Amino acid sequence: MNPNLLTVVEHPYKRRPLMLDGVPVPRDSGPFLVTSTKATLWVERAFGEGFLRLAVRQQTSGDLFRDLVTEVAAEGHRRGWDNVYPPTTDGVLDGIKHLHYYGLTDATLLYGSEFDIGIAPDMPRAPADWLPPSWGVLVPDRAYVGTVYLLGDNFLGAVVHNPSRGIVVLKGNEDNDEIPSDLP
Amino acid sequence: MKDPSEIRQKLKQAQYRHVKRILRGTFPQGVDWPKEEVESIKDEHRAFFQEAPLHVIARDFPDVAALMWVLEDQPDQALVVNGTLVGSMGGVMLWADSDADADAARGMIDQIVGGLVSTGPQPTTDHPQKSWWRRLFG
Repeated sequence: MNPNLLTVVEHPYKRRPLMLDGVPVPRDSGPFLVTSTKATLWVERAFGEGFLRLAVRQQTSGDLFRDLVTEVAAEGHRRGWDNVYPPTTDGVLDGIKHLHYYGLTDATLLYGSEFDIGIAPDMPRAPADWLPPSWGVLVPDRAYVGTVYLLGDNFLGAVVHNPSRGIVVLKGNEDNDEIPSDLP
Repeated sequence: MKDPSEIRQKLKQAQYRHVKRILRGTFPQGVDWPKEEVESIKDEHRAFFQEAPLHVIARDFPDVAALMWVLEDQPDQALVVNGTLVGSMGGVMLWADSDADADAARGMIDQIVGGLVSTGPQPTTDHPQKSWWRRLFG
């Protein structure tokens, strides 16, 4: 089972670029979340007939996926996309309903190391060690949600499309919610 | 790095997967599919993938477009390996006199990546419309 958040494409570059220019995307599937030189960046619309520019930077794909999911959850909450739910049975069912509303019936559950998979119905699933331990994500065919271009030595560029429709985050505890051990 | 021939193979698999999905959505399971119609759909998509512009293919088949895009000739651009060479864009090398200038230049790259549209918060509560995915496979 595929544990990746996005479609993975290895780029047969001759020399590694700093920026991927003219990357084709579905024009009406914004806002887009793309890699910048240091983090990620929301781009509201594609330019031209449906192209974007992606900065290339050095990061493992797992760390990238984690950053993207965290960012999609924050933006989904802020914009009221209704794509962020708690990691409970009701949360999973609501997340599946969200995807079904958009005709996305082929959902896969990706889950972190402490996610209780017993709360999910019988469905395709894959452990994703890149997720925060108590988090899960429901995603359809990865073609729908974006592409990461791998350029070797952990250099990559990525774009997420359809984040509001195609990525449901089952948001568990934040890492920084943990109580430091030196507190009473 | 993948060899282009491996990527071409992946491209064929992706195209095949989409056409198979379309056929499954068009014809009922458990009965023989009409051969002529099946061949017609296959031919139609074969021609589409060969002739349609990349941005048109990306509308409904973004993974196919991504693979086709990486197979296109890419300009030679060098990797940044030191603090003063920022990199290259469109074949033009970008140099900076200091790390601070290099950071400023990288910030400029982020602005280019961000395009003409503001990258700041743009609140909207509009519920997204139903997608092309549903139109195609729903």
